Amino acid sequence: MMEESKVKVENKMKKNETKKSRNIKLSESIHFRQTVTGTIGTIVLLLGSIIVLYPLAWMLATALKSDAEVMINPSLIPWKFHWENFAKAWNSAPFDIYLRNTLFLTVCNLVGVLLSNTLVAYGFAKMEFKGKDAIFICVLGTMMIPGMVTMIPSYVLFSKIGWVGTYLPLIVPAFTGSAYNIFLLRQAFMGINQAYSDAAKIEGAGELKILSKIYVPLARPVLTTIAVFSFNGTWNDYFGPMLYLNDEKLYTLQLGLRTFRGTAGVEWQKFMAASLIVLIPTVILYFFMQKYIIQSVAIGGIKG
Amino acid sequence: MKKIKSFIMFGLCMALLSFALVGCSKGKKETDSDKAGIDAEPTQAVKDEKEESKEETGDKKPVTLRLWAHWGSEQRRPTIDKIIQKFNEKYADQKITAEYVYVPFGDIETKMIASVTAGNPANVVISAIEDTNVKAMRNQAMDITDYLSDGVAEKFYEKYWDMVTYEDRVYAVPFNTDTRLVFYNKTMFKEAGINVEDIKTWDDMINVCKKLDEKFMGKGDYMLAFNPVLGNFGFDTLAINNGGGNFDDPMNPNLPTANSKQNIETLEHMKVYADMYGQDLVQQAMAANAGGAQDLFLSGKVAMIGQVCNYIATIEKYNAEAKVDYGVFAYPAGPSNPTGEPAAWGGGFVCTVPYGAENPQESTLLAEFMATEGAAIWAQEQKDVMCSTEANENPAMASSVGWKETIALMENTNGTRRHPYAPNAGQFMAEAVDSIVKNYTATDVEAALNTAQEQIEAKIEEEKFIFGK
Amino acid sequence: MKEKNDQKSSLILMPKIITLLSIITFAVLIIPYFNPVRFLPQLGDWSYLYFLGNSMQVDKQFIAAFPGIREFFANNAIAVFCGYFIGIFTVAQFISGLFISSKKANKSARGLMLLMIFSALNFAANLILIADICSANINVEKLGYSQLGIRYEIPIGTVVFMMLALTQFILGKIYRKKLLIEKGLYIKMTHSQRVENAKGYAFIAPYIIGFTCFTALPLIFSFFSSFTYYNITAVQKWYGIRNFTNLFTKDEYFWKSLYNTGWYVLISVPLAILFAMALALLMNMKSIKGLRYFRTVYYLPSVLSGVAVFLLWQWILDPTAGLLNNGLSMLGIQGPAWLFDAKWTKPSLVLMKLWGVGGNTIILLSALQSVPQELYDAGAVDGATGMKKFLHITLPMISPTLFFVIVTGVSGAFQVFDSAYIMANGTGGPNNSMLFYNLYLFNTAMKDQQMGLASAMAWILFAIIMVITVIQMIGSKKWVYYEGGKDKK
Repeated sequence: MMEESKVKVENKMKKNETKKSRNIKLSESIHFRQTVTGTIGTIVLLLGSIIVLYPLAWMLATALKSDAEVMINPSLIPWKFHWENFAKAWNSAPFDIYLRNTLFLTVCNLVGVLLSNTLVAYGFAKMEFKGKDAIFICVLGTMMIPGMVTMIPSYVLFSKIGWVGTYLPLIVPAFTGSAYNIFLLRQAFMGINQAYSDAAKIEGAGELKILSKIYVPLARPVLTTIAVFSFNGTWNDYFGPMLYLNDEKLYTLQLGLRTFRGTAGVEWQKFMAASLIVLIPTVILYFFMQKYIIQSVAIGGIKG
Repeated sequence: MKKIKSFIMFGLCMALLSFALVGCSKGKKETDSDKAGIDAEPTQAVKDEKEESKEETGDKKPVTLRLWAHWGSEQRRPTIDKIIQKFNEKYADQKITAEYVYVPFGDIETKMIASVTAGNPANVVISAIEDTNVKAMRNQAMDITDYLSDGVAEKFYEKYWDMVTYEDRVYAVPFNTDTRLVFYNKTMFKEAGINVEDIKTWDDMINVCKKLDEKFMGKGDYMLAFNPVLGNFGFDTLAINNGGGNFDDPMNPNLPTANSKQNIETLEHMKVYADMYGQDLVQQAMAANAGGAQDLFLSGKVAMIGQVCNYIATIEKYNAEAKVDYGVFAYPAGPSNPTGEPAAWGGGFVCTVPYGAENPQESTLLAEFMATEGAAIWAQEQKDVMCSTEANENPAMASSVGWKETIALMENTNGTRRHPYAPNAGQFMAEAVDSIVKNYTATDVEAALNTAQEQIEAKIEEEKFIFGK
Repeated sequence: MKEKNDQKSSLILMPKIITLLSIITFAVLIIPYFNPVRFLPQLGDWSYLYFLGNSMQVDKQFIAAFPGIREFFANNAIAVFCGYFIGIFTVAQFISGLFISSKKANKSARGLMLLMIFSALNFAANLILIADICSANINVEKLGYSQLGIRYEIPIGTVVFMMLALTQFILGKIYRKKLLIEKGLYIKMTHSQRVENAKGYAFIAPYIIGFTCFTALPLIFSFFSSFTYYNITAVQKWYGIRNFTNLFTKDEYFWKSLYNTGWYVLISVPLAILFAMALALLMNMKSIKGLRYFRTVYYLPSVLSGVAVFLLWQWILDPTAGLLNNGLSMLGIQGPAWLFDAKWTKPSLVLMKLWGVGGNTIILLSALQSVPQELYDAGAVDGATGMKKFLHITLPMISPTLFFVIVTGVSGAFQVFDSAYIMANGTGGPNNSMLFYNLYLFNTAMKDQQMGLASAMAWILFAIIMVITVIQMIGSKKWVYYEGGKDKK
């Protein structure tokens, strides 16, 4: 279908050059229509973003209230802006150590996730081997088991090999691929035209080369998405560190956030302040990674 | 020919293999690394073994003990660090050091169970007092009777020592406890002309509420006078106040008494509040309470609230802006209360030594220290009610409003233990109660409690069957 | 010529041998049950168990005769588990063995395949049983029981079974190869195919390693646990299928939680996907200003995770002071009591989920971005308008990703837990309206500490999700278009 369309386009382009004059009015109206839809869209998105941002504004407001005020003032604007709450929250637990630990874990996980999932997904997408479909169903299956029941046997397993109390149970699984990412990447790889790899094969490129030079750049949006998700996942992971770490010097940010919750209630303003601080790196990362996710695919038509 | 030869070879190999297997009695690698089947029993044998090995080793090896607790907030942290420091100083010459590890509240139980199953738990874990017996029965807590120092039992209030004893063996050392009282707004009481001393019966409470509503309803932020579902109160305290409860004997629960006369009375009483204010108002109040950030009492939304005694510390912290003049009294005894003295339900925490922890002797040492000398420090700094008798003589607290009433109520505050075969019976009760006073989905008190009774009985039957009893 | 005859005769002979073996295996299993001749007492004991089930009420006279084994089987859940499955596999082997000898080639081939699978499984189960017995002996010595005369012998029967299963498996393999050669269908893999095969495995090796090391054992253990009464720390007793039957018949919350979960899946997944799709389309339009800002803003909620979000939403949904009801009252609508009204709890959770739809949005957005512009141009040339463009160009091109979003969305929605757990404070919410299946599982596992029951629940959920996913996959062949596919229809 695509080849035919390409030919058609070429033909039509030739015809269009003669029709240019007639088309001016047409394009004006298209332009007008686009502006209208654009404005409506912008307004809709703007309204939506207010709704989306409100809870965050609330967090900020709570973080800025004083001790006593938090309990009584329900409005969005604090009576006085207590910016020192942020400093207080940060100093109430060794958050700098936690930050360092979390960064370490996150980077390790990121590397592992990108490496392993790319390889495995490529295998499922492009290579042929016996039992491929059966194994893939297996992979999907692991996504469907509630983690609760394998939690204790996993813990015992890690304990028997002596990994409990270290970072290993939190890092090594990242190097083995996860069902979600494999699935996502496989879909992405399968959506890339076979012609690319065929051409490369003809030129004698090996599989790894094809993967790294062709597929990875083409699938960059999806890979960036996976990287961002992985970063967030590890950054916000609470259960893993809680279960496997026994030494406070190894704790992560999420565990630190929990210190604000005691049996006597929650220290709301510090909790919100700390949560906001913990939130910032993920937002910054996403803000900068956006352009890779939204890359416009310059590689366009395929000849013949 | 070739094929037949290979068959013969194959057959021979198989025969050899089978002989090897039949003769095998040791050294086969475990393919299943978690077996809980056979290991269910003898604590005694294991303990004896460990004791023996300890006596053999000559000089002491340095021992590091880990203590897990959920105290991580700025309020609690310095105190526990201080206690650990004192412990380390005291036992430095015996080369015993302790380390505190913060584990978030709510997940500490999960972590403890997982580590007990894996065989590498911490040395001391702070856990809730009411399911010590269940933990003992399920091999999650270690029997420390033989490791305790002499005379340690006398240092605690008897009823808390009973709570940590199961079948005459001790499984934990009690740490702190609490009780529940009613906090009231003195200003509102004065304006409405109510005298606290006049509140002697349950009907008195209702009348007081009606008076307060007359005076304040619709004015300012006021929502309602009092409702036991708000704060930290609930059915259990009122039931104990009325001589009722979930089971026949709170210390050795055996038969469920969900639908006893006293319980029915209690729930009817709670229903009076529910009807007085109606579903909308009560649910609004619950919602305002739930987030926790809007304190109902301090913001003047309620005139009275039922809370744990630790609330005193909370008020002192947050009252700077609200400046509520507060007082405290015990909820009056119910009509079926056997003694006529107000009673309340008390929870609390204990220092448990998990099953399978290393160095049980030193662990018990740490647990004892926490509960005695540590408790004294804790009481002073955290203004908490402790289970150890010495720790409660606390001059620092005497000046706080409400401390006196708290200590007075401790006499009649009792905890309840979980039924070993139906540890989650409380949930059935809670559902029955909630259906009447929180969710407004039922109005027949007796029917609801009957259902709870049936459910608990069925659960006990089922569990007994499993254990072959 | 002689060779050919040899081949032909072995071709006829082999299936007969295999069938015979499977009959023997089955007989070894069954005959002692009828107990006419107690010539292999150990065999008899152990197969007796397989068929009489309820190992907790075992005949007392056997206990007297063979104390060690009886007790071992009565108390050892793993042994009983293996025992049952050995029984099942043997019967299956028997049936497939019968199929092999049938005249119809189709049936024969299928029977052969089944035989190989089941004999392999049978072998594995027997192996586990032997390992279990050996380790039991280690424990016996550790705990000093051996002085009491208790010792676990490996029943000869187990070894016999193992050998029989193994033999059948190997014979089956040889037979299959011969069949294929005979039919000329045996395509020996060319060298390059072998290389491709090996390369394929090499690529997915990380996952395979991870799976076998970290996931397989816990999975098998949890499957095994679902047939036991497992108290995590105290006891693990064989329970048969009682967990499952109890759930389906006696349990009051099981159906309720299934209903709640089903409702949530049916309502939240389509809504969430529609929202995400709409948002992604909006953000894909070049004519909107400030796209970068919007993309960040809408993605923010899905980055915020954990307790803070849920508590936040508890405030927002506050019936009196919350934003939602305040906003609604400005429009003149009296908002309901959200988290406190049983009818509105699930919609609250759906709302919260829609707030966090940013994750799927950027996935869909990145898929939209990779649709080549020429297709749109070509379509415009053909006279396609907005809707047609969407249906015939956009949808097919992003269908792989859309498929992913749907499958993971459904699977994730079935496992909803965090939000309900924190918003409902661990209970099931008013009238158990927020008691979702996974939450109920968690309570059963952690609060009641009934790990066996919880495992049974987990596997039921797995089966449900698996069935739905398979349906989706079959359906996907109709509407998912893989650009890089090998011209599949």
